[in-house]
Amino acid sequence: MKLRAKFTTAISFYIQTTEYVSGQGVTKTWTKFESELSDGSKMSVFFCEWTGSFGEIKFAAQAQGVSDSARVRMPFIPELYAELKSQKVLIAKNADTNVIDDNAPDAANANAYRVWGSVDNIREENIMMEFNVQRYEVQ
Amino acid sequence: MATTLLNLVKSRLGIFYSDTAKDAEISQMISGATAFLKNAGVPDEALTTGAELPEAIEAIIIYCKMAMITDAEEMKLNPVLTALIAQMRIVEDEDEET
Repeated sequence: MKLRAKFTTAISFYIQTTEYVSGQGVTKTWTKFESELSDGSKMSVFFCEWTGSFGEIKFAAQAQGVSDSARVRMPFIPELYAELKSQKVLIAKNADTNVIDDNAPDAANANAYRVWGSVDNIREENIMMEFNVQRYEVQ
Repeated sequence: MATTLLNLVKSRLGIFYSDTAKDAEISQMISGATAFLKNAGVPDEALTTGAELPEAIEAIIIYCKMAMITDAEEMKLNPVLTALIAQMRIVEDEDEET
């Protein structure tokens, strides 16, 4: 089966990390995900195929109270895959740098999304991964 | 092998991370592509490490993309690869008319 994808939409990722500070309790911070390349440089803006939900998928999403969702396909990045599987990740569509407001996701920002469900390493080939996203809204 | 060529090829193959095993795999593919092009008659100058011709880089990328396909049916020689080899084999002879 052929798998075709056109990576045209820029996205970046923010990962929530928690840290215990003595006397203050647990603090939560959002850190931008960066992938290190072979030459030591770091990359934080990635390109993906962003397909908005329509038809049956849209109806199923709305039945669950999700009004804005999409399917994202992008090249496989092992570290990002692990983070998407295990951590709270904020997805910034169009690599919007304003999705974090006062150290918290900005629910009013139209480009703030989060993973809906889980991430799939397509056919376990380590070439492409796929996940669904939903708008980051206060629920 | 120049890191720049490795990075160029990796980015065109959609590999945006650094992993020793993956880098070794791609480097091996590039070595195979280079040997394939040389055996096909591409002059050594086109494949000078660190100063590869743009056509040579494109040919290496096409070869690597072909090498990544696991489906035997789809692993056919790409016509653009053949065209690039033909273009690189052309030798300019300025003294031809004199």
